[in-house]
Amino acid sequence: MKALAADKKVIQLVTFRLGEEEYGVDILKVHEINRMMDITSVPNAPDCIEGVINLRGKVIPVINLRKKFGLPHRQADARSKIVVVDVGKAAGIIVDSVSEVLRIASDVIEPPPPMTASIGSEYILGVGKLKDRLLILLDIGRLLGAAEGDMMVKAIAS
Amino acid sequence: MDAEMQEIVSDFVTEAEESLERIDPLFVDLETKGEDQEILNDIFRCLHTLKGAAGFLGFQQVVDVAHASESILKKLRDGEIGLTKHLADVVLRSVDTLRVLIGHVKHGDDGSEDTGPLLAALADALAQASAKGDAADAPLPPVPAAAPEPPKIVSSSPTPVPAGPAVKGEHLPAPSGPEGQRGVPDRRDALQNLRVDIGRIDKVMDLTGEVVLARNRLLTLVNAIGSRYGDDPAVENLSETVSFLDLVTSDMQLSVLKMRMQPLQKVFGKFPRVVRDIASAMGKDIELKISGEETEVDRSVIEHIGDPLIHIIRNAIDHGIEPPDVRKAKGKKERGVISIDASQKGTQVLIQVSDDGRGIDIDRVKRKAVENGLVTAEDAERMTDEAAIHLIFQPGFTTMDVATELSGRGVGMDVVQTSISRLNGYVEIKTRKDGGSTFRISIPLTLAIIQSLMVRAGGGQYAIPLALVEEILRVAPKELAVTAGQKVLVIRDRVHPFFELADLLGKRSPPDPVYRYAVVVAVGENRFCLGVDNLVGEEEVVIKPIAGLTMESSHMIGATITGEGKVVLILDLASISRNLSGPNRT
Repeated sequence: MKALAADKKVIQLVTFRLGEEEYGVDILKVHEINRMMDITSVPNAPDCIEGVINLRGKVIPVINLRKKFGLPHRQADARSKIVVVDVGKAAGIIVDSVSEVLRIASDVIEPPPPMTASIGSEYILGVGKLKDRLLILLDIGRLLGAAEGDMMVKAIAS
Repeated sequence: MDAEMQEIVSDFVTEAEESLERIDPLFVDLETKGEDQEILNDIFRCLHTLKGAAGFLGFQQVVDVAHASESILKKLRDGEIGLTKHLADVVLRSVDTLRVLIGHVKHGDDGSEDTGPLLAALADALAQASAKGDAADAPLPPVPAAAPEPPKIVSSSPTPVPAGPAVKGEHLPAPSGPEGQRGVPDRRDALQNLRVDIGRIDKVMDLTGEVVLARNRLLTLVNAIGSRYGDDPAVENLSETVSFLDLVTSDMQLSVLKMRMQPLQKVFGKFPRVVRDIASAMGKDIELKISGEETEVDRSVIEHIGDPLIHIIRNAIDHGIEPPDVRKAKGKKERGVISIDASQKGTQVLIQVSDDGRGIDIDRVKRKAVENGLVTAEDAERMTDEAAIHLIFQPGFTTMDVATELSGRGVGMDVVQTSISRLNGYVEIKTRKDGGSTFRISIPLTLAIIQSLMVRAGGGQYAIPLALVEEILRVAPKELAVTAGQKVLVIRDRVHPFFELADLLGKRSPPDPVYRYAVVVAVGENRFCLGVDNLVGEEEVVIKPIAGLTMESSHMIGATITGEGKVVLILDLASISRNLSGPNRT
């Protein structure tokens, strides 16, 4: 986060909507964006793991960000997408809709406000102040790590 | 190092590892059979070949150690000295050191070991042993002459004895004689075999998996097209071609699987040495019997079965077999026996490790499990013997009051359980007081592809490994009896517990329809029925891991992709069975 704020580089983000908010993820972490597909649910998995999908022969887990962030359930529609991110391991995240690829200067990014309403601030890299709106930058690596952590805890507890 | 040289070195490493692997069991053999000329020759040859090749490539430390041990072997073979335990120990130690040195060569880390003390010990042992005979030339310091220019030595000497020619000149013909004769058939063998990098075979294996999936999809598609345009000759041709492809793919798959098969000898070969070392450290007298080592299993099984087996063997020596005096007092033979047997049963490999020791004291296991806080006293009381024995697989379980070097730290048996379930297999224990214990391990021949039964339950589709399915029945709800709150199904006078698969997987319970299907599965001795909504069919599936998800809690061994491209989870029956017979359910 500090690194982002320090040098005045331009960074590219894939932005998507989830509920009322708009989020951004570093484009280098995004592998591809897919339409919603058949998701096979995994028994006894943590709530936020929606299931697994077939990504061209590979089986990868899919995380429901709404559940992870405690947002109300919303039926998937034509605009819903699965963003496949790759942070060492591939995983999909379900979002309401993908907006655009955005280039922003790193100096418009500010550290996350101390109180963040809906999600734990540990997953937020910073907040991008755009002309007309705010953009939440997600730390996708930590997010996936946490989701996987849930799984491990579950495994140990059982 | 250029590529050619690298290849030579890697060949050397492979051969050296093979030679060293041979020596251990040979030596243990030697100790039990007494001084057998054949065996001595064999060991000598292994060391000798190793020394020669190492000298040629300039691995001086390897040469030194091999030479020093070889000198001892030579004297043993020529009958100049007799084999003592001390001698055997020190030679085995040098084999261990050689292994480490070869490891350095393998990883190209130029690392070196301090071989000084070992060399001194070897020379010392030799001097001691030959003290009674002619001590004059025996404790020769290992190859000082060879040190500066190792490659030259080989080129200057036509026979493959590179080291120490000055002192031992008169012995030269002796080793080269049998070496030459033996060498010929070996070389002919080599022509029949091809060493292939395992990465390439794995690649072919992966691709075959993909072909199998594509074939499954094609079969589904052809069926769909066939039912719509059945009378079109082109469709008929297509379906014929696909049938042919189906056959060829199955054959190919089998051939590739066979390519990766290796005899269990590769793992079992290490055990005589392990047993010898542990037994002598514990002051126990143990005979190891091995049979069925020619049974072939997949490479991945070979890689992972060694550790759990060693844990079981170590446990048998440490806890199972009594010290000789105790055995005598019990009226048993002083020498304990551990037998390892492998055999193939259908698509499963069965490995049994038995000892004739004191057996597992079930009451003690229960008591210790309570002390270790693994179960409550009431739970332990109610537990069946079978379930209680399985407590030893719980992490943190130990019966030892004091941890020894070998066991008692409460790690070990849970490792056995985990490694075996990871191989998609299961362990069973049979034990009788003073009659010994038997660990029966069952694992599939291969891990990548399994026959499965596709079922539907709780709104989802699941694959059940067919190897563990005994039979499938269609039952009406009224055929299910309830005893002590547990649904049971009586099949040919045997009572089987009946569980709804949907319940086990935490899915909503299905409504009571007119008919249910009961899949009878047998995980070792544990037989139970899984209730499912529907049967989809039998399918050959490729097991795919799910990266980033721990599957243990979900009772799944992995996932597969069906002909329609859907992800279907594969049930881990061993984990389900464990959960059913575990402490929480009894």
